Amino acid sequence: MDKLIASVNLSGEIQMVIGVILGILLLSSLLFWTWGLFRSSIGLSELKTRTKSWWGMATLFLLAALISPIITYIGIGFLSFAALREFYSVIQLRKSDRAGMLWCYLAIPIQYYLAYMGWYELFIIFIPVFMFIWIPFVLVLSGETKMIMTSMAGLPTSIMLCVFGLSHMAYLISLPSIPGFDPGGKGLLLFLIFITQMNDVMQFIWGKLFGKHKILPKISPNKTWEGFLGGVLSSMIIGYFMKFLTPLEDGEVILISFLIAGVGFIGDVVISAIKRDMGVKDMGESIPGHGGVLDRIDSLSMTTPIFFHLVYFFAY
Amino acid sequence: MRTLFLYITFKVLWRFFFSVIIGVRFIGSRKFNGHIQFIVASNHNSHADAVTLMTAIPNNKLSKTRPVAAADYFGRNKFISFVSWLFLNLVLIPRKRAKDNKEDDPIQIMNNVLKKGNSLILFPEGSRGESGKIQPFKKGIGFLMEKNREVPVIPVYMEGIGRVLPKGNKIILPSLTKIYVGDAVYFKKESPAEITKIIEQKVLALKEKSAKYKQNFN
Repeated sequence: MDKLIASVNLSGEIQMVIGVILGILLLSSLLFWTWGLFRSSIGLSELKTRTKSWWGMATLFLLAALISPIITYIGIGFLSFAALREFYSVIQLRKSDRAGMLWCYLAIPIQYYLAYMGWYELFIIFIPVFMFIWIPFVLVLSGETKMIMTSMAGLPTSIMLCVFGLSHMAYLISLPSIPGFDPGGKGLLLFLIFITQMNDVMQFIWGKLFGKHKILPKISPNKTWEGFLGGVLSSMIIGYFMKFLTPLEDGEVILISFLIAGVGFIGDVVISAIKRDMGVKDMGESIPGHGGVLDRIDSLSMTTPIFFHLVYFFAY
Repeated sequence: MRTLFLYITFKVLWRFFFSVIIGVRFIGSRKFNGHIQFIVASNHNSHADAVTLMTAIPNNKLSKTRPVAAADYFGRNKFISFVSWLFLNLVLIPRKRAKDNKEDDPIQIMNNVLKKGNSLILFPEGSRGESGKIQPFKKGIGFLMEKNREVPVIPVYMEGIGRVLPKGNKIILPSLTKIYVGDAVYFKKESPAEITKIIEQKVLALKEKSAKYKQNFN
């Protein structure tokens, strides 16, 4: 047991953030519980389910991210897999696309193994270059050309969204350590997920409190300018105070937080538009109160590569 | 020994495969519990159907539950029929009723299995259909129930399993699948044709329930 704890070896900064995360969860659970004593409404019960799910997700994530790097790679790889499976269960593909879909699933272990090896050059081109060539060819081999254009577009997009983007989280762990920067890849991963998810929550809260002017009423009727701007501002402030998890300067960390908030919004509405097209409200039902895996990580699938490449540019 | 073997095959290996990799979720699988003997009647979309259902059968009934399959496919040679018995606990029946040959009568074979105290997993559609469409049920299940009125029928609707392994395709792919288990039905005086009709309606009702479940999310 002692050995296991010693091998976990968390820096002081990371321990503090874990404390903050658990504190936020505890506070919101307590808040909704006391609120429920005075008045009960349907909206509140949904908030409670969501908070409960947040507890589960936070626990799973912290365990996967902090115990051992191997578990982190496998965990994030499984996240990609679950997202891709949800995506294919919702979008309508042809029977002749099944070979192509199989190759897309096979891309997951390859991509994550490349992240694990730390072979950056291949990691970064494997999906956008090799799979981009290979998938349409596999579709052509099936011999069925009716509607092949949709599949040729849909399958590469599916792995870009669910595998390529998210796999950058795994590569954060593989980045070489910087002298004098203790939290390392774990810290960066924690920063990314914390800011992305806090941004979602903050946009939700600001929107509920002050939301009036809709941004994209046809796609996401709950998104308002007030919510979006409030979320961006909150993310920048939170990002500034979480700077100790990154090797960045003040200005850089504020810029990155700003971009995470903006790009998170893009990821959110892109997935929303796909859901509208397919006539479903959620991508799945695996997370009570939130919908499917893809509903929770819609923003993350786009913030991850943006965050990774900015950090890579600034600090490496 | 046999129970332990089937337990490991279905409850550990297949269950891990279907719930974690394929993404199968049972709704109401507790309804399999508490019966001495039962017949599961389900819609049929893929070769994975019987195995998936076996993963939800209560542990103590595992060795006494036998999916019914076509002899011309799963019994085409001795090896395949042995493997399908060993790993799947299958009962093989001929697709066509041979009226002159009593030993080969599919209803007689199933009846014998039931009389020994076993439970059955049946696909009354006869053959695998397109995902989302239910073909008219064959009357065989009605004739079988007429002779075994003490055994309840548990209707099941599987939604989305046709995308896991469709007919005429060899690639198994993960796909989120939901399996709705209905309440057990007992038959007293109904004729075979009526029994078949009632079971078909029960399965269709579960299908409707699944459609409603989806709409609620919209």
